[in-house]
Amino acid sequence: MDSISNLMAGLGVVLQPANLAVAFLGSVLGTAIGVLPGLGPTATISLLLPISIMLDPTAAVILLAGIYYGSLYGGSTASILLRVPGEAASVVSCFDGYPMAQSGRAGVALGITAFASFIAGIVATFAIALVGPSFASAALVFGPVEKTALVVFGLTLAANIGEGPRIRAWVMVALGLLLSTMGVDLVTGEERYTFSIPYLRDGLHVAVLAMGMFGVSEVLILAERKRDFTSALSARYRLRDLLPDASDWRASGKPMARGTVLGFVLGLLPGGGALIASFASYVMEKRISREPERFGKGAIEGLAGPESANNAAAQASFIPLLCLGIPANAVIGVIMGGLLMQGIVPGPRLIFDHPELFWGVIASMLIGNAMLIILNVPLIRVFVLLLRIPPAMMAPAILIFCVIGAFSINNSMFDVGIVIICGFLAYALRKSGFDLAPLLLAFLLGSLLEQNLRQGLILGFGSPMLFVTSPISLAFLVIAGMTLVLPLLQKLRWRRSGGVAS
Amino acid sequence: MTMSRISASLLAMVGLVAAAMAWRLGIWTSGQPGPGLFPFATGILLSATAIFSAIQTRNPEDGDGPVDFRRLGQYAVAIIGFGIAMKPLGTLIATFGLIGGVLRFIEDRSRGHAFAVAVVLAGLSWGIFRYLLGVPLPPGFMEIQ
Repeated sequence: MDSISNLMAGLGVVLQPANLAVAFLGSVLGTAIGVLPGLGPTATISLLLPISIMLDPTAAVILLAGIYYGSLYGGSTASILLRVPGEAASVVSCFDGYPMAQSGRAGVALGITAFASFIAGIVATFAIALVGPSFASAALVFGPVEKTALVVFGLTLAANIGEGPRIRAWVMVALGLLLSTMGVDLVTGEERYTFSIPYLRDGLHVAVLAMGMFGVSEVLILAERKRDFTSALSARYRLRDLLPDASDWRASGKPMARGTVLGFVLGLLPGGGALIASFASYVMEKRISREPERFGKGAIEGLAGPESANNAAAQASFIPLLCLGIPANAVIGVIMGGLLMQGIVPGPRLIFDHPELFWGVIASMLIGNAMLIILNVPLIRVFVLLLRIPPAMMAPAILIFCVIGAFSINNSMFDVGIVIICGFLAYALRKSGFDLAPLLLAFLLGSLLEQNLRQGLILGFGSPMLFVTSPISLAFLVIAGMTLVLPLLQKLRWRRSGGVAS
Repeated sequence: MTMSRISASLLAMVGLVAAAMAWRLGIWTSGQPGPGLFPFATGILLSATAIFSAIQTRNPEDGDGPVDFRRLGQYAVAIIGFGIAMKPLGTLIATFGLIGGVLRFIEDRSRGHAFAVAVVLAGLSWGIFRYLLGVPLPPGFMEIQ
């Protein structure tokens, strides 16, 4: 009951006109960004970090959170209509959404996507309200030793679940940790990797790094070749076309329920998130279906399940951030950067020290989802028009926001140089097959890891044994070790069995 | 040598150099972890994982087709040029020049279209950052405040 009354108090916060306005702005902006192929939520939220400083912390997180789950609503539109995912988590929507559109059921596909996201979003919000406080209370007993092990566990999951080969994800984790050490060491006052440049004494700014990595590098990706998405857009959608009929609801009901539960659980894990949840839900629906051959050819279950899962996961991934201070994925990592810029350190104390922020953000998900279903169903035609914006105009617009945004953080031309250099380096890394999400997560967690590791070593009088004598720490480290070793063992076994077969 | 191997090898070298620099800072001082301990460990981790990556990996496939390097190079020049020109020319003029230049010379848009979009986007970005956010953007030689 406490959670529900707190949620109601949170509704009081979010229903203040200013917060309601930013929730609306975030939802609209998120949907628009989700619809446009190319610019994902990570890049958009990175671009808006300098603007979010203007707002109070609660409004800033409501805005950034609205962009995140709004982008998931919008991301499916381009997937269904063009087979071009608006953002990564919407890749799965292409599998059955596009064939549905091809067979004249685009309206139903868009409609069921919006309804599945809405239902999952509402259920996930109540689940967060119930689970979140328990998470925070449990985490309050964590000392430096347990926190160190928790961050190691989080980094291990982030590296294992990221895109591409695991070893490359680990390279990015290591690079992110190394970059986090730049600047003056807070304990001894020693300068580390500053090369006597005064601007580097405070280290790299997370917003500058994120804008370079996700914004400027995106401009270069868009610049690689001329793109045109408009040719496939000719259909018009009426409200009636978007409403699923009784048979569609019957076919989608159970997948939505399963997707919501699966997405919520996966969203809680550091390293999890919308992308993993949508893929997992698709695989699950296909496995339990009596007609798996229909999947990939326009099965509505293959759309409803993953759509519910990705929205539930996106919202659940706020729990590790708000209750443990661990970002579950890159988007949440950038939102964490936004909180840090506001002087708020996310973690178990947040719910007690800033209850208005915690419950305001959770309640904003209810309002945001309601706004999104209202926006997405009747106004789908308006959002589809966004697909007509030529990428040629998007690239310079993104660049301007990145460069001027980087300048605005410290009013420094040095940051302009850093954002451009980061952009070029990030582009090279992306083209070499390195996923940048683990780098950003490791960068954000690096100082937390170092600080707690050093404190843990001091507590143990220099001995690392404390990390294995604490049961909580040991449990996290064992799970982290298993996460590392099990896939390697599976690979070895697969190779051996392949060798026997051949 | 593939691009991913070159990148991994460079990262391995960065890791080694970083670890060497961290060693000099002190790994363990006065019976406590020194300022170099964590950077040293991460430098070694970077080096080791990058070496494994260089040995193991193949170049990723580019699913979208071939890259137009001329176009990419033009964009790269535009980005660097914008960064350099922002202070002497001022943000407003540099932004106008960047958008107009990109649309006219790289994207082959008509003069009128490039001019109109450049005016709108430059004005919009100037308005948002200068007046809404109160950022003292570089005024340039024309002192546009």
